[in-house]
Amino acid sequence: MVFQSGTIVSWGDRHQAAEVDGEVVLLNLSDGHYFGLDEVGSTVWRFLEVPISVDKLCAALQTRYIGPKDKIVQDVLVLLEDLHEHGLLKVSA
Amino acid sequence: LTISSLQPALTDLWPEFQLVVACCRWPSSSITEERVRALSIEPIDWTRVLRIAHRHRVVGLVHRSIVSYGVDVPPDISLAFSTQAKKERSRATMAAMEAVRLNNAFKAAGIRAISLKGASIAMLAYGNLGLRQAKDIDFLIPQVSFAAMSDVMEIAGYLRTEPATSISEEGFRRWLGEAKGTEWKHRVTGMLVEIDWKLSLGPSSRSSQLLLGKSQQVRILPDAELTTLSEDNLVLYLCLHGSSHSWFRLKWLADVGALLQARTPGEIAEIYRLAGTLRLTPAVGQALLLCAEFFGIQLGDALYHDLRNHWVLRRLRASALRYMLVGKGEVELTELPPKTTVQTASHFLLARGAWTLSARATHLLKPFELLISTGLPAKAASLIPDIAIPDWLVNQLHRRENRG
Repeated sequence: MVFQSGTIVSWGDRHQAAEVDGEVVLLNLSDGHYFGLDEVGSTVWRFLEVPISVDKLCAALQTRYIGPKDKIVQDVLVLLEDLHEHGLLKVSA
Repeated sequence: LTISSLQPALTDLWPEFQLVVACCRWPSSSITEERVRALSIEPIDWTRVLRIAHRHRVVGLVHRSIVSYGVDVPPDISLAFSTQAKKERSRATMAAMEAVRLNNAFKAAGIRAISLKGASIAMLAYGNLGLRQAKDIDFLIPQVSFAAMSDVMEIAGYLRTEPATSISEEGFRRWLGEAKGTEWKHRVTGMLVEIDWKLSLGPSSRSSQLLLGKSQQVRILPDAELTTLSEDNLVLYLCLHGSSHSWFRLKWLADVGALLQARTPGEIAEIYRLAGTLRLTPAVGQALLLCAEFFGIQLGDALYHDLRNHWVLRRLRASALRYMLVGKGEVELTELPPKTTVQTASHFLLARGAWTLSARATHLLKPFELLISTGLPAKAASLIPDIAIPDWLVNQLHRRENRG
């Protein structure tokens, strides 16, 4: 999946989420696979509750975390691809 | 009334074990804090505390107490507790979410599933998923739903591991008659699920099924509930479960203690009376005696004297204590050479001696198919009469005291 800056992303429909010590644990309801997100991943996940474009998501993260913009964008795209691959992300153009 | 002494007393045991027990007392209180602090200033082998907490599956409870009471713990041990507790919280949360997913699938297939132990108890006892360690998920379903349940589990990604799918048709038919349930493992995540149709085996098998008569809904996640036994029946079931394993994990007793902590002595006496009607007196009496001693559960003078003066219950208490402490309380039973005297004696006192022998024979011949291949009669185990002498003895002692 190639994400463009204007691609709109949000939570998928088939998951259950819970927080443990501020970190999100996800369960894919279709296949029973579960995933743990670290602190940054959990922050990204919370932003995805309402549909948001990739560039707005990255911009929001830049206000929270210190680091080169390229690195933040790259890490976000990797996470989005991972979530999408596991059926946890809804994507619209 | 003379109070018989309980030997050994909890205070005679290693301070590390006493500390772990004190940390398992729920909820937090000034009494508990004082006790934990007093024990933690004694010379304590903290590595041993960690090992005992791990073996008894109470890392989360001990970690919570250490942190909330500000106990001074060596940094490496503190880190180990923190890491392990976090791992267990994640695991318990994942198990809870998976339990909800399976429960919804059962519901959609028209199967009435009751959640046993796991997330339901974590929420009822501690109001928190993360304090109670969860190795697996337990459900109870009507046996008539077995085929539908198997379909649900396979679609959900599980493989049946007990009995193995390779079992013969005849063997499987006999399994349904003799065993109490099945075990499943997720093909990818490795999550373990036990799905039973009986709450227990042996003499208490029939009476324990009566516990299913009342149920309750428990909120597990903000948007999800599970059905479990009513709270009194859950206490009785947990006593039955713990006693059948000789309470070798403190976790089980801590659960019972946490469920009883808000009960009045009168309510606890009522639970004990209910246990009598279901022929569960020895198991429940044993648990109450231990909870009073370990966690300060208030039983009321009459019941406390009653339990403490019964030699059967004192013997059962001593058996449980020995089992909790076997391998210095820090070594897994599977790592020890097979010494089963304590548990076997305990099972006889719990009126399940004959069953223990038959079950042990089954265990030795595992997998189950081997038992079948020996050509033993299909109902061999159930033909062995129950030994009800300990129950009879307890009843006689009750009657004698009531007359007195």
